Amino acid sequence: MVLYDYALSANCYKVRLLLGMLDIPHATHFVEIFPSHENRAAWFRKINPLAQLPVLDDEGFVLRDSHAILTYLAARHDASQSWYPRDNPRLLGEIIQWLAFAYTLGATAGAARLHDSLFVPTDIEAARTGAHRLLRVLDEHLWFAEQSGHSWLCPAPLPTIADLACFPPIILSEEGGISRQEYPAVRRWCDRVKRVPGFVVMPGVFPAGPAADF
Amino acid sequence: MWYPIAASDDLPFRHVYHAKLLDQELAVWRADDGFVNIWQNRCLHRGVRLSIGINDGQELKCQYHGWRYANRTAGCTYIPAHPDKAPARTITNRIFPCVERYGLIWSALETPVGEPAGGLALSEKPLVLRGITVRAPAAAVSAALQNLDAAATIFVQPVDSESCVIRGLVSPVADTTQRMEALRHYNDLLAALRDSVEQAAA
Repeated sequence: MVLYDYALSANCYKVRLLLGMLDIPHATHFVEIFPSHENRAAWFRKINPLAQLPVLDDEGFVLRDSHAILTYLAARHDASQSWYPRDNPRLLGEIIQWLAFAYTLGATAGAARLHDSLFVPTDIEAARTGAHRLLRVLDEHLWFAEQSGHSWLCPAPLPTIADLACFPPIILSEEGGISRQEYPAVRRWCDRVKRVPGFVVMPGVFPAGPAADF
Repeated sequence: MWYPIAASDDLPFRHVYHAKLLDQELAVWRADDGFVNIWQNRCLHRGVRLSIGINDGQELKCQYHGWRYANRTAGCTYIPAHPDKAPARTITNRIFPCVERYGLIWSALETPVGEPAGGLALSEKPLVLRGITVRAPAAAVSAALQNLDAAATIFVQPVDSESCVIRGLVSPVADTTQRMEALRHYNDLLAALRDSVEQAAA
């Protein structure tokens, strides 16, 4: 299994998180986006005509799009079926709902970060305003989830791929000038994600301390 | 004057809460012995926010170069670049007053006079409503709250000149379903007030 990966990509980070948490052996093929735009080279466009990362190659089965890869990896390699519970229609519906939310986070908080760090043109004020609107919705959702005894985006005892899809654009939001100080329930959820066994960091993401001494 | 800056539930095990009161950023963390620390949100070394630091139960560790600060005293206990030297006692973070009462964490920038919630007759274990951040000055929000027809005790935490947090308490509700309904009801009520105040302020 090969992951075509860029270290600073939030979408690639989604996949690296699940690979780490499921402890799936794989090789990494680094493709530089900034500044050389290796992703636009002819050889890579043969792998993904959209010139986007990440791409997964699992013994010749080639898949692009971070959420598609999360879905495939969880369905194929998670024996517990907790990350993508195929037999639970309501949970699946909610997972897809939050995957869509993760795309809107990418288009706002993610775009603001790429604007500030990799000089990608965007309407920065609109991106930040949009991100705050989403974080306000998310904070309310997670606060009521906690009150109902749930720790994760979806009402399941364990995290799902929805948590991993939403986590990167949120934890990197400050690189786009978007503070999370107003969103305490989001900040607590970030701690919980960081404490999932197999969690990996990336540039700009710090580890959480241990939840307890064992 | 005491202001609520967080709910007790905002400080779960080994978490660092990021607060702001009257333009002062605060790092708030509960040690394993239950003590709540309210500190200036700034490492004395390079100024990095301590709210991204690690709460290990006894100390708060800065993410940048690993300086550690002790529960209760906020004194620096360890500097990794000088492993053999005890840090000078003068290396102590700024501490703010703290009282935990009525399910809320109360603080102030100066030494406050009197008790939190100034003599109101409140249940010691009320139902704590979700804190609602409003992007409008505290004065405008307090004025709008005068017209709120609700059996809740409401406090306004001034965050900075442009925003504040509405923190409310109501009588305890034993039944789980009724408790969730009450929390939803007041959340919707206060969110609607937030939306109208923000619209007027925009």
